[in-house]
Amino acid sequence: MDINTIHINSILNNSCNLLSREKNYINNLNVFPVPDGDTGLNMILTVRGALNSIKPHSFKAMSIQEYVDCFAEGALLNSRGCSGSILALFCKGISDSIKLTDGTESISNDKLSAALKKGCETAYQNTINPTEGTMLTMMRVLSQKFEQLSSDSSNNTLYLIKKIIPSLEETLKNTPEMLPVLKKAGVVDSGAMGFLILVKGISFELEYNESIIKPIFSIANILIISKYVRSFVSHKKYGKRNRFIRTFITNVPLKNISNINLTNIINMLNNLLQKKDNGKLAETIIRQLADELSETWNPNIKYRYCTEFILESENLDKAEFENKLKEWGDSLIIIHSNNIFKIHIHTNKPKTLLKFCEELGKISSTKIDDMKKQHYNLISEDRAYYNKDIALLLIVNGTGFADILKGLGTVEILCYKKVKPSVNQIHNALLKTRAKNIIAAADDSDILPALKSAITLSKSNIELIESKNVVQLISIMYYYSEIQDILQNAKAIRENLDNIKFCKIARATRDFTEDNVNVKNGDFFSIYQNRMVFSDRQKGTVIERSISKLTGMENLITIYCGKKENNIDKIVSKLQSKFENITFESYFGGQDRYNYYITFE
Amino acid sequence: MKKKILVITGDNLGIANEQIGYKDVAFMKFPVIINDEEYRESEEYTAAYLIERFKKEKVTAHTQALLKGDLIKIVEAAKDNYDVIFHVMMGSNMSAATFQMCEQVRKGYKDIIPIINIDTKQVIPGVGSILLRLIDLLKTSDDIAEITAKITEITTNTFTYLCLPDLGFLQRGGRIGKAKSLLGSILKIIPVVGLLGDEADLGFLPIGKGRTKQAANRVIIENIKQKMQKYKIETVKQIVIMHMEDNDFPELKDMEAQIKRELKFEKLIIGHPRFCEAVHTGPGACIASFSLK
Repeated sequence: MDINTIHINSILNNSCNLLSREKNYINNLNVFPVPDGDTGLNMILTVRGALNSIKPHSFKAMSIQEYVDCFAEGALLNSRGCSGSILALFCKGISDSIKLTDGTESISNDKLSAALKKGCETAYQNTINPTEGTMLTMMRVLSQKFEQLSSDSSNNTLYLIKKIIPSLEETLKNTPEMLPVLKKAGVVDSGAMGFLILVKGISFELEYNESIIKPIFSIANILIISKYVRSFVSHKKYGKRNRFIRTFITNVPLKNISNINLTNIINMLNNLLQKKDNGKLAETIIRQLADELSETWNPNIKYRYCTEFILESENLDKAEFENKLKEWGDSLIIIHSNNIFKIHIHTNKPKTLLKFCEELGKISSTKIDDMKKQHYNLISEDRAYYNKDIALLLIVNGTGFADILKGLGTVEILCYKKVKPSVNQIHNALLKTRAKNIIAAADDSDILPALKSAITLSKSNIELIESKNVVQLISIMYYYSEIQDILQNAKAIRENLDNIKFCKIARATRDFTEDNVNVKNGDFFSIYQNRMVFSDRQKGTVIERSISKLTGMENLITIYCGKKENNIDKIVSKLQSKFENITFESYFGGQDRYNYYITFE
Repeated sequence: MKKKILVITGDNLGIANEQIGYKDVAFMKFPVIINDEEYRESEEYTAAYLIERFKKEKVTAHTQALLKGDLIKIVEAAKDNYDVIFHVMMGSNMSAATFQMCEQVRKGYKDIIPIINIDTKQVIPGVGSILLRLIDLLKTSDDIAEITAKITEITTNTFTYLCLPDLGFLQRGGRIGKAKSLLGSILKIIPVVGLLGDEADLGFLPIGKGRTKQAANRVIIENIKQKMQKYKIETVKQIVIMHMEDNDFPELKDMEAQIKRELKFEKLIIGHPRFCEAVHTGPGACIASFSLK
């Protein structure tokens, strides 16, 4: 095949774009091994990650061998979920097999055939409990058909792939026969569908803007219709009285449903409605279809967390390691290259597992997905369509602080006024991030109960940072990084949460005495580490005395003014002349509760 | 007989020519365009000259790729006098045009003289640090394959951090990459960006931010400590630090003090700012490069 890396890169990019457009459709088919609705996303993250690992300006100078190796390595390091891991194994097998001698810039069909075979073998061998009716079967069929057809040397490679597509489509259609759980759910395998889309993209068979699939009909809708059908049939309410359900069901747009079982149910129901008494048919509908459909899409998830990480270890025996990991859960896939192990496993104790593996080597790129939450998202009516892996949500009082935080990096802000946000408002803000993993924090510990409740409603994985003030939110912004995973971020943030020294100044609304400081109604007073520092009638005096008392080695003092405290310039210039070695800055925070926050850095 | 080896490099090294300590070095100068006029580094045109013009005249400046003709002249002059040429160049992640030009020259001369292009994946003292490591290797061995393998390993273990008070210079040069998330802060911050050998393909990465120069230095020290822990390194092989304006600036002194206080290292070199480097950093930049292995 006369092909160069520019050509290969373009084909793979187009194929990846096609997969990206059909991502949500693939997610909706995801029932095996766990219906967590992320097959499409995982495949996209894997392929996109592999493509991104190739430097855009240097692939032109790469040999095909270098390109394939780089792509396979990128897929390995970026693989996500079962589907992504199996795909990465397939790529690794191909890369191991294609060994072009230096300077060779073409791949014969024979070599490609051997590579596909090796890719398929690698994927099967490294998947613990390989299951037919999945992407693995598609890989096998592709490899076998390619081998058969490539014996005719006149066949062009892309022509061969085009010729194989009908066989792959037939195999995809048969996946429910091979894997009973698919048949019960009434779908073809999601990973197999994703694989077919990738191959179709490679074959150029499709026009770029043409969609190959039907409009999406969500799982939530499928379950609602299934529930109506069951209720309708089991109560024998198919007379004229139950007009609403009858109208609803008979108006379901059959052409938009990709679920084979549901289409059958509605067809059978239409037959049932035409006959007055057909108890047997009703029973069949309930027993064989509606119940099974619902059960399959709503299963008990034995191992809750889809856990992935990279382990770098020099003296680790793969077989021994695999045996140890088997005890922790199922769906185990280990991809091994040099001293790098990429692990995918479903387990109930992800953090303990990571600790265990930390003793064996260096852990990185950790990812823990809560599949129960993902499954809940898949089957819910207000389903969230994730478009990013990680986001940070900060809940803050004061428009000034909201702007300051936004300027410090990529962050979603829920800005509230005097009234603290409700559970519903926080839940909506979490949903709006459209991220699978979220770090959430608020500027007031009183918000924590609402935030905790919203987290239980959310379908994303959320790490709650128990912050208590806005200065800690600024600190979070210093240590949050989009390029780190949620656990690394949470660790760095927690370790540095109290790094910025600060005091706050408020005005008394009554007389009181605390920490031996007498405060009268209308006085300003400062608080440092929950202890009263100083009190006076004049705010300038309180600020100055507090700074004198609290400043140590710091050389930058920042004053954040509250909503009603705009005129700070005079006080700042006075402070500047008094403390010559310190730099003063002031910003509008806009907070309601405290007149000033003062930080010492 | 010991091989005769020429080293070619650009003038974006973060160290002075005199600090290199190898006689067979040919330097190439990056063209710098200031207000549409081309300049090259000289006694008059230095980093200090450009920084002063940035401050006083608010001039705009950019660099251009190295000229193929300049490189060919050097190779032509060297082909009969040397056995091998090592070309230590700025990272292909920073200047794809220069990298491709050098590759073209290498291929063009492949039957005449072997040229080994070392893609440092670095800038400023990162390039200088790798160059110094190469010189050390050349002094002990002339096994080209061994040296090439070793220097490739060194590039993946070299980490350069830049505290840039104004990220606009990096942004105008089109090299800001993922570090753009540090732009546009209301709060005055000193962004720390990094070119990390183990993630160099991603270009400049946002490492962190500090409100004070000491805090920014702290971010660098913490990050390099994490890298040392990750790669199980106890002693850093070589560190090059520099300030774009004056090596007596307190932030560089603070960086030096923090390094001496908290890290074990074999060599600490105070670098030297170069003309073309100032284009991308602007005034006030403090830079540190760590060669771990």
